[in-house]
Amino acid sequence: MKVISKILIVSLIFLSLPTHGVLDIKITQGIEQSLPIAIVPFGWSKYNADISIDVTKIITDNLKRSGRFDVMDELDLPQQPTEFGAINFNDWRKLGMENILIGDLTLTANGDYDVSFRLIDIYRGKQIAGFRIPSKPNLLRRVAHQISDIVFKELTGTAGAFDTRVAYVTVKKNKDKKTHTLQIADSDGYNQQVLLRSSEPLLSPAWSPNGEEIAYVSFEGKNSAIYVQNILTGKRKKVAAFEGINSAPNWSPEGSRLAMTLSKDGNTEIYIISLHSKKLTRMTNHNAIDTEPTWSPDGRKLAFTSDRSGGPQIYEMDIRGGQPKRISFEGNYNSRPSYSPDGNFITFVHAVNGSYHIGLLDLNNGRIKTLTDSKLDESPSFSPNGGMIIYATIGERGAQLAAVSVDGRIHQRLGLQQGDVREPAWGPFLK
Amino acid sequence: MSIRLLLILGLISFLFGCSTDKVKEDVVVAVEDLSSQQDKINSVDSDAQAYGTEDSTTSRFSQLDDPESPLSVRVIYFEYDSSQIRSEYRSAIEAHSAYLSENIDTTVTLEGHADELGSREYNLALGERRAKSIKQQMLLLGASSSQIRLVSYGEERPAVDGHDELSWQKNRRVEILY
Amino acid sequence: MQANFFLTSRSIILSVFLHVIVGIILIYSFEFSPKPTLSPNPIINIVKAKTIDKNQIDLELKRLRKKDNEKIEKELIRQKKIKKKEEDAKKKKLAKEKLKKLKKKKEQEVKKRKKEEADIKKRKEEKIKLEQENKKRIEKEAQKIAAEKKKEEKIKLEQENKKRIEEEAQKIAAEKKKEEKILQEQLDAELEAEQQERDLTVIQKYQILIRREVNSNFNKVNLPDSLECVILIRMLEGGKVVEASIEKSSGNVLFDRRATNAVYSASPLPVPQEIRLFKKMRTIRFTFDP
Repeated sequence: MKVISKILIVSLIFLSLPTHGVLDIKITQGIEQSLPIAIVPFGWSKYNADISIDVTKIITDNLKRSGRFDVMDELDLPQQPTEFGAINFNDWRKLGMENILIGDLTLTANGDYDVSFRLIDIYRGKQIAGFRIPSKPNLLRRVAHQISDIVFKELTGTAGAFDTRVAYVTVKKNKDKKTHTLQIADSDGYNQQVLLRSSEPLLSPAWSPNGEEIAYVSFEGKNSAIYVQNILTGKRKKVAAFEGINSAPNWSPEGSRLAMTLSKDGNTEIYIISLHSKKLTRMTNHNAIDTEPTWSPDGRKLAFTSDRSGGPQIYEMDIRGGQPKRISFEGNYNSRPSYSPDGNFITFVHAVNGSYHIGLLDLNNGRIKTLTDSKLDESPSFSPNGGMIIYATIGERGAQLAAVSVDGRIHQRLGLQQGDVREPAWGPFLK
Repeated sequence: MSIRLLLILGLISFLFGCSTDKVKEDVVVAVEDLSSQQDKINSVDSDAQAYGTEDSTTSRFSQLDDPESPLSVRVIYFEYDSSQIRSEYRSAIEAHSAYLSENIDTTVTLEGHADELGSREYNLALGERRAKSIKQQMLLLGASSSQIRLVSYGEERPAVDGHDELSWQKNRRVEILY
Repeated sequence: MQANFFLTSRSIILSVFLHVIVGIILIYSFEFSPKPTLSPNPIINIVKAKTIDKNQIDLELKRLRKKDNEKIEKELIRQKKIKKKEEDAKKKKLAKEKLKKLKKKKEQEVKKRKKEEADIKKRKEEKIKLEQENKKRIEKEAQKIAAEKKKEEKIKLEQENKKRIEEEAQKIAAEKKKEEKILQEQLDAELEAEQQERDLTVIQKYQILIRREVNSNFNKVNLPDSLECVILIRMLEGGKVVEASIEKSSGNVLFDRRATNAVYSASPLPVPQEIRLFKKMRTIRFTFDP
């Protein structure tokens, strides 16, 4: 028996040992880490030495700021190739650098630029993506953002949102007078442009889906009124100036309607106005405060703030009408909802014990995650790729803009200017 | 009667020295009224009704500008996220309501405000609700709707720019503006 | 035989020698035979005969010639006769010699024959002698053989006994060996099993190390859930990954790329230094299933 058992053991062991010497290993974990990348300074032809925009630096800052990348320090680059043939793959492999970005800028005969770049997979020794982008000199910044978006997409799997703009309100105090401006800037804070300047308060900027217009609330008429302004032309029209409150404009996904808050009928209620016909449709009918409507990306629902249950909470209702349904149940103050581009989440102001944070509600399971630690946060809205949430916060430097990644790991401060900055709205993808 | 006049004049000058612009304006008006009143006083013996009218004009002036008078209360403060009127402001509202009901040509603007906590648009509505609750009280107490205008600035026009409870307290308010 | 040959050759040499001598004599004598000499021709007095008739001259020439020829002919005949005589004499001589030779030869042959007979006799006698001796010897040998055979048989018997004993001993030894072999095999198997267990333990240990290493290099940030891909790698001694191929794609380019990068980043993988063990795990199949 002993012999038999030994034979059995031996045979079992033989069976469990790898056949033909192939060992099977299952990888079930992995890490969540920044992706290493080396950005080699783009080459220059000798003709464009006086260019003032450093495309390489814009891309580097973008990727760094996203918190998703670990960008190699320029001093540590083992070499600085500007074309594929000059890459010494062994040098990079030794450093464990998986991806590098190389590029080149040349000035063409008519004074425009040709920007070419290649994203390289070092381990495979192949190009992942490569393009040549012709560009006018004044659009080089945008090209740098576009390149950042491509690199971001290829390496993280999600679209980048660098080639986008944000709108915001600034307030500057001069003795007793306050000056309010509505401005837009690139997603990295550069290229600031003033759209409106007023001595009266401005709030709630809202981008139209095509990025050409902004709706906002202005008190220039001594009462709140809603305006829609064309960004390029600066032309604007007054859309709602009823008695009482006219506020919280929010565009429908197809861009022809605005949801808004009006109190003309005695109480703040949600209405929808058709921008062409000016037809007004009332959505809510309750003596509670109903405000801050936001359209779901599929255009089927409205989420809004209502205190009909005692304190402000988030509600959802069908666009065709019907009874609103409460969807926030944690905490005694939840307001200012905003849908994610994929419609799976709502970001909102979530107060816990008198601290006002940015919250994230998962519509699939009702779970709420608190994304910020700061206590005076408001006005959250998603980036068009759904990865970041921009919001207003009050800190040591006063009122500033900040952004947090949807998983809560990456925090950014947007240093736009001195004075108070508030009411951010992240514009759609630029065409 | 002339002693009374002197007293009134003294009061006027006293007020003139330490009042706001608005009250100043009122003072100017009052002076005008006084002169007209003076005329009326001169002819008081001949027009008893006019006196009565004069009387009301005089009393209006004094009620508004009297720092002791509840009408001088022009700001009503609220609790956090509340539009409930605190009992301490009851008499003031009563006084304003009475004043309005007695002066049907007079209009007042109730400016609603809120502290910076929470979202702006909600605070806009909250400010309006606060103003509205005062309006409702006033209507109950004799004022008419057409006299009262409502405006809400939400958190956009803080009285105090600080980021602490003291500042927030000062911003949760309705301003009564004539 | 040899004697005959000698005899024969001697006679040949003799005859040749004789012939040569005769020949020389003949040739010599021939040379000394008087040469045909032309008798001196009559001198024609040319001065006398004035009118020379060609025909007469011819006739004269002819006559003279004829005379000469007759002379020559005579001489030739004479010589011929002499020759003949000589030849006859030679012939006779030769015949004589031949006879002599024959006689000799005969005598020699008789001698030879006698000798041969004597020889044969001798040989015969010797032969008998030999036969007798042989017989004796054979007998002796037979005896010897018999004796030997006996001896052999004895030895054989002994040997067989010995062999049998040996065989039995061998058999026992073989059986013993078999048993030992079985035991040895068992032992080997046990050792092998233990070795395999040890190897397995070692390999399992490295499996864990490698898994940990690749896990910590697999960057799954932003990757979609519930994807799976299989990467097959080969290593050089020391754990350096030299080949990573996608055996089964996850369907997502980024996922595949991250998995491949994970393996390369983790390279060189922790592997046993012992080559024997390393060979058992130089090819690894990674299943990425975060």
